[in-house]
Amino acid sequence: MTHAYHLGMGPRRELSGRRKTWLLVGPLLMTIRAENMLRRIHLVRLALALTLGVPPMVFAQSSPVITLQPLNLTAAIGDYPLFSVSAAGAAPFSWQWRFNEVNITGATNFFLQLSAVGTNQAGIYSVVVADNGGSVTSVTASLTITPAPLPWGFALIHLFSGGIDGAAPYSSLLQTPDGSFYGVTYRGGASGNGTVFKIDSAGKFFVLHAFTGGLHGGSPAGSLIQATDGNFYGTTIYGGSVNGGTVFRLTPSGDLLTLHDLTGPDGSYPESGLTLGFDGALYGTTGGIFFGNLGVTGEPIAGSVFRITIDDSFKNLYSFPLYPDPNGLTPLGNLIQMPDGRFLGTASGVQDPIDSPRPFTIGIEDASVFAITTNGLITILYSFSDGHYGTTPETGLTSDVAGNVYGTTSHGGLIDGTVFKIDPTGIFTVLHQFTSNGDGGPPESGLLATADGNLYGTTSEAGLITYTSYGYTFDLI
Amino acid sequence: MLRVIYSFTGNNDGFQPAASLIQGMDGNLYGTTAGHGGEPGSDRSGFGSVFALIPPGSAPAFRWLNPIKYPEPNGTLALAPVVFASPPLSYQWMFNGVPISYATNAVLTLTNFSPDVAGGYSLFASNYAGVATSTVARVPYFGLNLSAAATNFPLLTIGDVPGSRYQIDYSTNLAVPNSWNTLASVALTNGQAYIADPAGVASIVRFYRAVPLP
Repeated sequence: MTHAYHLGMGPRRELSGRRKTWLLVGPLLMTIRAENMLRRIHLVRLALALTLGVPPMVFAQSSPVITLQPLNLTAAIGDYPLFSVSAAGAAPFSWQWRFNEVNITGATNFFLQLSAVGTNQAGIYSVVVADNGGSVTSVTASLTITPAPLPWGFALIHLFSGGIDGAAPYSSLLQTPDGSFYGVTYRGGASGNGTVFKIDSAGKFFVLHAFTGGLHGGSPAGSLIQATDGNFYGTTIYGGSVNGGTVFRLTPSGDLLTLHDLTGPDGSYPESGLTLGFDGALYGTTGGIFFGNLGVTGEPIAGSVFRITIDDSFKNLYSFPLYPDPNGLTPLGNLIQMPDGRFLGTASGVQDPIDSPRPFTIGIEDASVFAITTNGLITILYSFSDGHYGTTPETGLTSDVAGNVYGTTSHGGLIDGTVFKIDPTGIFTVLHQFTSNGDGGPPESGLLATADGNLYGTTSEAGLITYTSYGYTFDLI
Repeated sequence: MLRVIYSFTGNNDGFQPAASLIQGMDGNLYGTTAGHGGEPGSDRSGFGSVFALIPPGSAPAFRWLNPIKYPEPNGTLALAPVVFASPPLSYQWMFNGVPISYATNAVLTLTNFSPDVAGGYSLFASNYAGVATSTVARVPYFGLNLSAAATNFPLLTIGDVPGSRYQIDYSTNLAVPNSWNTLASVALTNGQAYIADPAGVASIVRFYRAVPLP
């Protein structure tokens, strides 16, 4: 197994020189800061020069050392608990999870993802980790099963007809202070180019605007925002002078103005909405790959980050190079602004996202979580370099009050993508690996972090394997 | 730890949610599904939805989100206010404030629409967290028949919530502006009234309307 870790918020650092050697990291602690590595190595009393460029040291032929033991867990009936273990030793490793001291068939990974647990799965779990030098058994960890949680209610507010009311709302809703909800549909409407709709506080549905395509834009897929002037702002994937998409303003009464016409060198095909910056400007991403294909000349790019003011002062903050770039390529999700003023986003690594919000070509080497300043200085917080812990982060990030950042990947991980976290010190953690075994997947939307400490998200399919259902809403507790 | 809190069925609840949820001012979660026809691997059709998820422990709250489409006489009308509540729920439909026997589902279907079923409908719901009664949905009836008398004069029937008041107007030519004339004003003491218009026999064409009075 090879890893290319990007450590913390600082400059990108490549540690792939340790590949195939001595470090195994479980899914709950996958990016490790350098000082943590040193501490672990000291624990096993090995003298290791941890300087980049120094050949890696290989452990002597001895049993592996478990550095992170499985933890006791409490889960409700139907939950998806995850046990994990970390160990150091001489690769290659093997793992065998045990339940009540009996081997679990097929449980031979460095984590144990249980699915929809029942009371018969309560008990004692442990894992035997082996390498060339021997084996070691972890401490035991208990799984306590509690009664099934109380159910959530569901209320259908509007079912789209596919006609003039629109079809395929790919974006999140926006609730305004009067209680109304606003959203966009990708298709439908009077000309089939999508709509902006409103559902007032009494539940009445209105089409606020029907996109006509062409110069006025069409096929919006990103959520709306309401700026300080009371108008709504958003993007369309298509339309504009070269059909590269637009940034638009919509008054509350439904009058549309194309604020900016995306032509290619300045970005194209924006699949996400805008973010209102602390400075009152609007910030967004484009995911289109431009190589002179829109009848426009310019440097090839694979997406961009831009800033636009409400009076159409447009500035391209960063263009992702078309060819392999350590910063990733093709950002498809919204940006979020952190208290320090930086914007965080994801570069999906998708190589051709144009025709559908759902990509069909994946470049796992080019996916990342990045930070960008308002003057365009970009740094990488995490690179999904090998797909083990997810890849193709198609959506934006969310943050909680503690400064943790959360996101999803729609591919990679065990089977069907992951939910991940980056804490304020830069430590990357996988919170869940979708298995397509009743837990849904892949997650193609971002997360909602609520004040009670929960994360909520959705998966668009039951999984790429089973197709037994058509989407879940999940809750990470 | 992941917990599935709702699984879309694709049966009138949408499918393939593709966007982040938001938390509404009422604490509920709101989202969209993008499901539409022709999805690879899907035999479902649909064009997406807007939905709410209501946390456990939420007492019922009602909204009449869909306009009531009144049927023709003898037609069918389905009443279905949307309830925001966590399950399990118990229901009881009320007609003019009186419980309807065996009407204990979330949807009430009125068949053979007639003056007898015109009136006010409300739905009572309860769960472990509380109870709620919807606002009253007025289901009026306004019909025209010819009397069985030898003269076959027009006989109007109107039904609504008891105590409602209406003004009945007639016109012989709608192309003429302000051509409505008052025929009668009625109070529906018991929810129904019958208005005869013997003078209507003399008209070749006669239009009627019922105007609610405060």
